[in-house]
Amino acid sequence: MHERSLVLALVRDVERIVARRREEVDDGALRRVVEVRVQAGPLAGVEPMLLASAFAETAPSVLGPDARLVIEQVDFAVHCDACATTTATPEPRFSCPACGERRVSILQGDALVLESVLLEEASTP
Amino acid sequence: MNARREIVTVRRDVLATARQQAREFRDSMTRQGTLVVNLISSPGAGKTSLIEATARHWGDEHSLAVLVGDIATDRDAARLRPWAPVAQLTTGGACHLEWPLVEAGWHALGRPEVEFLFVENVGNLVCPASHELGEHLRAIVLSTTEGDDKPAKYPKAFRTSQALVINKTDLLAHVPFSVEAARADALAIQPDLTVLPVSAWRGLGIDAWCDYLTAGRRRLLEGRTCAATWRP
Repeated sequence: MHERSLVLALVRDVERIVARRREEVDDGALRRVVEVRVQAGPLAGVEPMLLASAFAETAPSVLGPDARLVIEQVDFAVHCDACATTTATPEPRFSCPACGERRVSILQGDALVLESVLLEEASTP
Repeated sequence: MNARREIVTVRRDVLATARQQAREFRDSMTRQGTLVVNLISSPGAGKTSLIEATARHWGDEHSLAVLVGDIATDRDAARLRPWAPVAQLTTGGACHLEWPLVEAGWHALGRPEVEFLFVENVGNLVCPASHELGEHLRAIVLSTTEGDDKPAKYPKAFRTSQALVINKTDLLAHVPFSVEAARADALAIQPDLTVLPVSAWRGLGIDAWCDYLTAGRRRLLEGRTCAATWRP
């Protein structure tokens, strides 16, 4: 069960992104995190329910109470180095279905990816 | 009035920062000529026995140090102490090691400039697969008593390894384990795996494993790539 440590890494990344956005815009406005969107594939080593509960424990104290986690399940995708075919499957598959080649590069589905952060500017009175 | 919203697109692996830091640690080990080996297996597959057999085989020929990750007790560390400097990394319940523990353990040992640094991960075929520790080589130990179905059941651990050590071959006559089936399933997941059948207990196949390690270190010293491949 390493979802807790993945969430710590995730929350740190989101914190950094919010801080950088604040610097870039530099308008003094407050921005709160309303949504953290992640993608997890079948080889990410992530159990969505455990990830969600670890996020619920950790995130509010760091990102504020409104941060909602959205977990998108993505397919496993490989690129064949021999025939250049890209294939996506719901389960991990380590060979090319088109030509049978075993040397394939994993394009997607083997990591927990922070896809996007939705920020909301606190409205000015 | 509606509050303004904006989407910041990131598209980044959550473990990318940790991986980058682990690789900086690995680069520093490369510069001092230490080959770092991350040993992954289920509990009881024989990681500690493999390190003991390796140290016994080498004698004074090669220098090594060991970092042992365990949830509780220092029994593995106590077993290895006669052979090499050992630091215990007790994870306090965590199911895997992460690179800061490895770096801290190496400092605790006094930053020895040994030829080989073995990192014995916590016994688990799931979580350790996702965490890079700054290793040059990841070796997975699979024992014949566990069953030959493990590569297919735990693909990530096998996909991210460079060597598969099949341990307890001395028991093959007594257990329903096919080395060929395990090898075929593992190679279907990671075609570049080096498969090394051994019996750490009986000392069988340890010469080939040790040759594999010294060849790996030679590549490292020659500046050739010997790096753990995460997205091959």
